[in-house]
Amino acid sequence: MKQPIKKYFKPQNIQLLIGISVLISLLTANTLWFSQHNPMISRGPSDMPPQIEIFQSLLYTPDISTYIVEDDTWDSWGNSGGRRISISSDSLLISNFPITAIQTGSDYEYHPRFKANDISELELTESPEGMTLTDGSIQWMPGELQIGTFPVSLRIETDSTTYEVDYTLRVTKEFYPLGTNERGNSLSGLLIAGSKWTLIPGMIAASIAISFGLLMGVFSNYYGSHVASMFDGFSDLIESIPALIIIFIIAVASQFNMYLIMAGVGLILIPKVYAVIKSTVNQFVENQFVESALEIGFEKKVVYWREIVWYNCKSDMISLTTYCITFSILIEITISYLNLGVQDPDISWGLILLEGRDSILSGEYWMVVFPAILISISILGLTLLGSGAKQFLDPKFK
Amino acid sequence: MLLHVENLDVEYEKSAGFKKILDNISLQIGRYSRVGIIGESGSGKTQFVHSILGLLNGSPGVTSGKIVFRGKELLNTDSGDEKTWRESYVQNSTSVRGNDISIIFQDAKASLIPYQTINEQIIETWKFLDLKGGEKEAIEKASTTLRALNLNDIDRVLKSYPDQMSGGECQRVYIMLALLGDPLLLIADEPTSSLDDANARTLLNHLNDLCTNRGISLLLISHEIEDIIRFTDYVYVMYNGSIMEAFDISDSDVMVSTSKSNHPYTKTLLQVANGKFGVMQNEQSISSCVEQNKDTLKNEFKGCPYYYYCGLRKELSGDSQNKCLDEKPALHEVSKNNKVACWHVD
Amino acid sequence: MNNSFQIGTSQIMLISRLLARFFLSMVFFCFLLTFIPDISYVDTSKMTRFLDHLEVLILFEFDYSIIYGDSVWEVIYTNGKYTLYLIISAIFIIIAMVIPLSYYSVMYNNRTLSKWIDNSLFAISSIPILILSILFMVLATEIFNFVPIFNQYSGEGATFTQKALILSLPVLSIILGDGIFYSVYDSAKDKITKIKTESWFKGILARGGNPRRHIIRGIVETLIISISGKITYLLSGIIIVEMVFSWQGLGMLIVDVFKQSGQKDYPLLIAIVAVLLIIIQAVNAAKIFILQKLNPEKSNGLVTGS
Repeated sequence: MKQPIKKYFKPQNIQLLIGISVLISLLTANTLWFSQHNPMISRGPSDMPPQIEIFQSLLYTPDISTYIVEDDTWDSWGNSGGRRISISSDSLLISNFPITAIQTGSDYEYHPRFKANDISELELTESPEGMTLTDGSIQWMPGELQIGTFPVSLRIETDSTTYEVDYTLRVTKEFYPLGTNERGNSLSGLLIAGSKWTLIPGMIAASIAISFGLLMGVFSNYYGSHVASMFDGFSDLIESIPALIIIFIIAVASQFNMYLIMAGVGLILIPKVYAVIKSTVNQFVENQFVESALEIGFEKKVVYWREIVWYNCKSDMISLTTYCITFSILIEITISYLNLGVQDPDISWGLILLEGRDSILSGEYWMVVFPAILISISILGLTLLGSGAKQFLDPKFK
Repeated sequence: MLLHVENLDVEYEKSAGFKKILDNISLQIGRYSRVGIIGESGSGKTQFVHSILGLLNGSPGVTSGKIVFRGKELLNTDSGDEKTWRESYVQNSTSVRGNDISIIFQDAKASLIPYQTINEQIIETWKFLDLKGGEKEAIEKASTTLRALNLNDIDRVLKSYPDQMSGGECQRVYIMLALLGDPLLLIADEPTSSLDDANARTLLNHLNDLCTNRGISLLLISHEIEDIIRFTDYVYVMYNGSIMEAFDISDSDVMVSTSKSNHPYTKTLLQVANGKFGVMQNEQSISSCVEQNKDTLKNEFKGCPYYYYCGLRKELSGDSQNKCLDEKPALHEVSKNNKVACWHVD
Repeated sequence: MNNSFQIGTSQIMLISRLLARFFLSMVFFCFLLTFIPDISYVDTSKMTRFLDHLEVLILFEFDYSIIYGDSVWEVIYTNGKYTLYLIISAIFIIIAMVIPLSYYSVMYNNRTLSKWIDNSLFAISSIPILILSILFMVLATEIFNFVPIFNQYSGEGATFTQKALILSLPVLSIILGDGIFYSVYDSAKDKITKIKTESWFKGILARGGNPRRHIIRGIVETLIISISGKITYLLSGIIIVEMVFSWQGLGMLIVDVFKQSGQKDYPLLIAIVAVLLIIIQAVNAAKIFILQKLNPEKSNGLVTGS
């Protein structure tokens, strides 16, 4: 009984599975974008960290000020005065950082853990309405109208000194799972919007590359050595200059028209398609065609030739298509990152990376890390789809 | 006794389970002797000689048996658990290569390193085997051997690449390389199959003389009966991974005598050699190993490997035929120096 | 005798073919340049403009760079050496890492460690160079509190280890990203597997020899072919990496020239592309010569035997 199940766990099936799921998610993102344009990119507070808690606790250090309070005096209005000497937040005091960005109606809890153990008293000196401090744990559920920034101040008394910890808690009406950028656009919306530059431009490039490359590869075998050397020379010429430089020229010449750039990507991909098709057709011609060539008349030869070529190149088609699509995604993110591609106010994944580039220094990693992960998964998924489909369809592997 | 192989089993893993390539092979070669193995392609002769030197590529490979060379055990599956005997098998077989036992292959040109001159290959082999002397001694010894093999124009050959030499020259060079370490046993795996007839005969003559002069035992594998008869004293007949017959042909003129008690397969081979049946029978005989009835290839088949093509079996009664189908015959002595594995030959 | 370095007619033909390729590519590049909209060329025809650009190349009129003011060659020299550091380190590290990794992976392929190396390399290989370099940048900044940009490399007071660290990140991104390392590694493994099935390999084993030297020779042969095939791709990667790490090399120069508005600095551009193409053809030439050394039997005289 074990054997039949084992048969389905072949590596190409797993690859196909991953690839198809990635493709479906990309298609979903594309359809989402095309069906409801702007609502995806809502305007909210800027530079919000991801509101999914685990993303905030990893890698992101919120703005926390820690002070030593001296000469604490209280004036007649109940405000505390006294000198504050700021110390670094990881010096003596808190070992876990609070979440600083939440949504209304969510349960907020922060249990500060202190490195010092002689804590005698904890008090919330400044807090939004409804926030309580029970058993050393700050708890709050922001109401519907409690939106905005709220300062929170915690006074900690040890036996020797008094400390104060200040931070700002931001509450939003909508949920920003992946945070926002400088202009307040939700990153998740931006990513979905940017996905429109993945599949469709890729298909443009792929269609140009494959149609020309296929014809060239097939004709180079059919018509003999002169035509073959001409095509070889042509593809050598395109391959001789680094691809990016040609793309830069097209980008500048077309004034950043992405569709023309994708046509250029198609041009650059022609040599690669040509090489693959040529070698496949060569192999089959040596094997099968020589015998039948002598017996069959001219018309039949063409028909058989067309069919046999199609049968052998079928498996290459899908892997070449996915290769072209991944290549165009790569080119798109590269030139958008260099500001030579998709321009403001349009959005693409490369542009998100460019925007995130400066925020890294202030510790706002989400603008860079999430697009990076998404791009990598897309490319990995498409590559696996290509290689799984190729193994699936290849007559040799059957 | 120079080389003694006992009950050797070799299996390879296929998608449907294990396939037995060699079943219970036993063989002996003494000093200064000439032994031959005859069989068609697919009978397992190459796998057998490769297993003596530990050159098998498949998995698991050797599964049981014993190989002893000059009293030293190269393989003994009874000595400890699998990991131990496999490790010592690898170690021992690697150490005898070139020094004690050498092998020459069918396609010598392909077996030489294509991008080195013969000169360089001699020196490299000399260094592998850790032989005494420098490059000059190496070339001298090589030239001596090449002269004994009747190779002309040694200087040109030493400077050439394998691609630039003829098949006969390549084979002579390869023999010379195999004999650099002065082995006591030379295994020749169909050395003349790639050469034309005239060349082949001369080469075997020279090889035979060389081995006699240097006291090297020769294990010759061939599918040419004439060569076996001419150059060997004792023959093992292999079919589909088993030994069908083992007999002495040093004193008999086998081409004349057909009354000798032989295994039916050996009889077919001899008749083919005698030209009695012509081309058709030859073809059937050659294809029989390769296009076997699938049943005999299964591990469940416990009968005689030659069951389906055996002429003798087809003349027997039903009960006797069943015996061939159900039980595999073992080698038993039919007369002095003649062992046969058949239920119906005494 | 046969292995020594000879300049015969076949080598001259190969070198002239490389030179021809170089000129053809430069002509093609000048042709492409005519498409860039430029105010100073509004009134002239494409042909005049094309010939103008060609003139710069052929008559070697590289005088002054428009953006930088210095002579074009000085600019290229100042920046070019940093790009060369990147390229040479990249090629060197690829060779140094692929040989042991592929050897280990195939010769000991039933150990689990080799399967892990394979799978992790495959996973990294789909990460594009841009993403990988940005991730390295992020990691270095967040975790090591260290910004690996160029200024710290060439500035004062950078110790050797710091310099090595700053150099290694861009080099690693170029190599690992876009599957360059993985495909070189894969072809090396394929070559080893192929060698193991060759008759002469079995011959070496049968004669009591250690085949390691021959396997490594086979790997080097494949490496050379693979790297020279990928050199164009590597140069594209260098442009990206130089932008991310603010590395003052030729790549950054190119991007600056293209981003510049108004009249573009054509002499500089043509010179940079010429230098890049020379590098490409030099690598191809090196490939031809090394292959000739490794396979001396292919360039010798006629086959005499049958």
